[in-house]
Amino acid sequence: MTKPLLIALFLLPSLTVFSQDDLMNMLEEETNNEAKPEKVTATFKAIKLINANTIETTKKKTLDFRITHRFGNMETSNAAGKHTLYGLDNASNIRFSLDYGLTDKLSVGVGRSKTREHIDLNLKYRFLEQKEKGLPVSAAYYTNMAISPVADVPEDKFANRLSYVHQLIIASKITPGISLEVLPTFVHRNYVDKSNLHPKNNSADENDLMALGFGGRFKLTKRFALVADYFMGFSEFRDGDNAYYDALAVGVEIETGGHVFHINLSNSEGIIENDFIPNTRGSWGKEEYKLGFNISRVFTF
Amino acid sequence: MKTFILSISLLLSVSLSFSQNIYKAVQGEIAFFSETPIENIDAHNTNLKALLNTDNNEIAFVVTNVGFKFEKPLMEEHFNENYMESDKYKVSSFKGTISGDLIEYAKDGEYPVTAKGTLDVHGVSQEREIKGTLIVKGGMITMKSEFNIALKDHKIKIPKVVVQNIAETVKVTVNIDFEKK
Repeated sequence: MTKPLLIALFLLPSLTVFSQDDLMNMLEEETNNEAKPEKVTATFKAIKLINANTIETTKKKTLDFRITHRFGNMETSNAAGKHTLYGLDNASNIRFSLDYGLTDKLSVGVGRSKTREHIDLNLKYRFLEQKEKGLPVSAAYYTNMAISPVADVPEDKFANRLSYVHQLIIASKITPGISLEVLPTFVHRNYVDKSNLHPKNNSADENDLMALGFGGRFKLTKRFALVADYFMGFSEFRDGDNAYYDALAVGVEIETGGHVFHINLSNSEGIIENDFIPNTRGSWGKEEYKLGFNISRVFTF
Repeated sequence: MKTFILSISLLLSVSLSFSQNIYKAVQGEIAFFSETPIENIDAHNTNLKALLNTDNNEIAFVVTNVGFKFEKPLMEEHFNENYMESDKYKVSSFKGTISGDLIEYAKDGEYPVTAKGTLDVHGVSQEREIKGTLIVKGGMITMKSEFNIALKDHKIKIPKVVVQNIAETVKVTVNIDFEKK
C-alpha cells in the first residue's frame, strides 16, 4: 500500500515538469494571464450614417472630404415625380464638408449646405470606447455652430443667423455585423418665427428643440451594409397637422478601399441637425422622400 | 527496493527541472510589407510572445493581430475588419523546431537555422520551413528571419477593386531578442 503511494509522490514533481514541455501551452497560459480587454474598433465605417453622426471620429492626421447630396421629392405616383425624373432634376440640398482629426479621438470639421446657405463648424470628441470584455458601449459628444449667411435676416442682427447643436452619441457594436446607436440631441436656434401658430393646438415655434435619434448598421457582406436612422422630435408645434415630420432615412453603404458610398432615401432635405430636426417638411406617406448619396474620401497626411 | 525507487525518482525530478533551458522573448517585432506599384503597406507589431527551448530546439511565437500598427489608420481598420478578421482570428502563431545541431547556445556566434513547423495565420495552418539566423551574444539570443506569406495560402481574399493596392505575397520580418527565463 505504501509503496505505490510513495512512488506516485516522488514522480509528481517530474510529471509537472513534463507537462510544461509544450511551449505553445506555456505561451497561451501567459497570454491568458495578462490579457487586456481589447477595444472594439470600426463600430461604423464613416463619421456619418445617413443624417445621424456616428461614434467614429476622423482619425489623427486624416482628412475626410465628403459630398452629401439630396435630390428632389420622388413622388413616384404623381405628375411632379414623373416630370422631374423622380426628383433627379432637383437638388434639394448639397453639402460639401471637410473633417480633420486632431487626435484619434478629437476631430473638427467645416461644411457648407445649400439650405439656408448654412456654414457649420463642428467638433466631435469620443470619450468612451467599447471593450471586448468590459464596457459595452462607446460614447462621443458632438457640437456645432451654424451660420446662415442669407441675404435677409430678421431684424438685421448677426445673432439671428446662428444656431447650435449639442449631441450625445452612444453606440454599441453588438455583433461584428450589427451596430446600433442612440443620439439625444439638443438644437438651439437664436431666431424663430413665433407669429405662425399651430392650426390645432395654437402652440408657437420654439428656440430650443429636443430630439432622440436612433441609428443602425446591418452588414450583409464585409463591404456592403444596410443603414437607417431616425430622429424622434419632441415639439408640440411639429406634427403632421402642421406639416412637420420626423426625419427618417434608409439606405445602403458600400465600401471600396478609401471610399465609402451611401445611397439612401430620406424625407428630410436638411443634412445637418440644425436643418433636419426643425425643418423636415417631407412626408414618407406623401412620397416626399428624396434619393440621396453621401461620398466620403479619406486622405492621410 | 523502496530506497532504489525513491532515489531514482528524486534524481529524475531534480535533473528534469534543472534541464529546462527556456528562453523568453524580452523584446521583438514582427513586421510585414506589401509592395505594389500603387501603394506600399508597412505594418509593425511588438505585441508578441515567444519562447525558445534550447534543450530540444523547440520554438513558438504568438502575435496579437490587432497589434499591427499601420501608417494610415484606414489601412489598420481594413486589415482588422476585412482581411485578417481579427475579431474571429485573434492571433497568428508559429510553432516548430529549429535545425540547431551546430548551435552552441553557450558560445557567442551567428548560426544560420531553418525552422520547421506550423504557421497559423487567419485560422489556416500551413506546414512551413522558414530560414533565419540565430545570434548568440552574451547570454542573449537574437532571432532574425525574413519570409513570404502568400495571402491565398491563408484564405485571405483581396477584392478586385483593391487588387492593385495589395500584393499577393507579403514579406514578413521577424526580429526577437530572447533571454533565459
